[in-house]
Amino acid sequence: MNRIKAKFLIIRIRKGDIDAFEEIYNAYIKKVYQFIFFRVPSKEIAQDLSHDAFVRLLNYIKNNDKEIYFLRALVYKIAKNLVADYYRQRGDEINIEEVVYKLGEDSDLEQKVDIEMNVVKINKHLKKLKNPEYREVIILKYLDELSYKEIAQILDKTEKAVRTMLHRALKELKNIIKIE
Amino acid sequence: MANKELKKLFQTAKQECQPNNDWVNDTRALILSQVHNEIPEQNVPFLMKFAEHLVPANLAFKPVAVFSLILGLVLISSFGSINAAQNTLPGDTLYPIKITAENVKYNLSFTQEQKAKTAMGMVEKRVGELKVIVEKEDNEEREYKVAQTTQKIKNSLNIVKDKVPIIGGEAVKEIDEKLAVMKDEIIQASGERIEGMENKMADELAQVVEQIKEASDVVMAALTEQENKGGEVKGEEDNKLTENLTEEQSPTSTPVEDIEEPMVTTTPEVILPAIDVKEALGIKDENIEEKPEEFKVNIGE
Repeated sequence: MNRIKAKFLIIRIRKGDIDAFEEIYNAYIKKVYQFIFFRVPSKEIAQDLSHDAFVRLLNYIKNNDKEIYFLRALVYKIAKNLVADYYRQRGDEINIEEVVYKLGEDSDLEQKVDIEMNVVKINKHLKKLKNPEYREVIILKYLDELSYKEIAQILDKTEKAVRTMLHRALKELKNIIKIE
Repeated sequence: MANKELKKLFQTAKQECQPNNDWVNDTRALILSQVHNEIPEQNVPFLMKFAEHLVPANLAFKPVAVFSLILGLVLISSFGSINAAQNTLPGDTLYPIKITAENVKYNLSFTQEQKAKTAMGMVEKRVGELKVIVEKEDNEEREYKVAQTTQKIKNSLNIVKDKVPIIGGEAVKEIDEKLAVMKDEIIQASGERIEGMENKMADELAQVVEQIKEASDVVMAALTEQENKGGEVKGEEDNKLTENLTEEQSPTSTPVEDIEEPMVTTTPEVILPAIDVKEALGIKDENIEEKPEEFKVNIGE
């Protein structure tokens, strides 16, 4: 969804046009679900949090008159905060960057059956990266397919820092995969 | 492992974690039913939806979007609707067209200076409408129309306040002059008390005057800052880099709620003697018990 279209949709939502919100939902639901899915232990939790992400997005759009420059980055940032809140409520003392390798560790056998081999493989490799931010930036770039600008928005870094971090992260990941 | 192979691995993993279509549809229905309860459905101008559909779905280039929007505006103008809508007031049939045209114009403003000027233009138009409503409308609908119009003025003033610290040059001075004129016009309109004007309406007008004063303070701070920087006036070209940085790096390391925070000056404040706006407007409030708020002005360092 391009920025001009997103702007129009936001204006329409603030005027009470529900169709506009449906368009945003259709555009981002799968991305948000995937984003959360890689960061929580189960599919059901991913579904619940995905639902909450859109409710929170709607409230943010309705209750703020300020211009939203990057809607997609905002959506991802809301999803990221929800995942952090989820772990905080569970009482897990864990950084948001650490949660990327929680997938597959749930003791529920049924959940394990749901998880396909490639997902497990990727998480196994990502787990070995020393810097948790490396894991996050790789997932945002290659799984969520966000632009450098959007990743910078979500991680609160400059675009240049994101590029540098990704380059280093990929180098380390390739070494890890080569060794195995 | 080459980048391509890594990418392929991620692509495959992504396909494996697609959400179930039934769940997607059910969640959509659930959220929309919640939305229906929370947002009272209003009539969104057809032109707003039409203008949006002129933008291609997977747009790669901004000029194409601009062309589409301009084409849309030309088409709309050719029917004379916008011209016919120019003098309408809240509640008139063509009033939504007027507002839509202004919103499209705002969205077509690409620089912060253009946005600030367009927003200021919207304030001027709303104030003009407010004057007509206060002077000529009958009592039944007047209160509602005043409330609607003052809300729009506040929204546009918020945009002006956000943009002024970013832009510089003559534009800021122009806005300062216009704000002074707006304030006088509203005070004058309030001063010509029409029989039966409700206190609530008078409060709305007083609030708008306060908002204009706040906007003037922000403008004053921006002008002072410009002067303190050796009198260099920032032109449009100098501002472009700042605008790009502001637009591209707007979120900071703060929670989602603060992503779109306007730039806040942290210059020292000077406390001026308290001014009671209502007293200045000649409005009597029987229930006044509290002191008026002190009037704070930000000055440059």
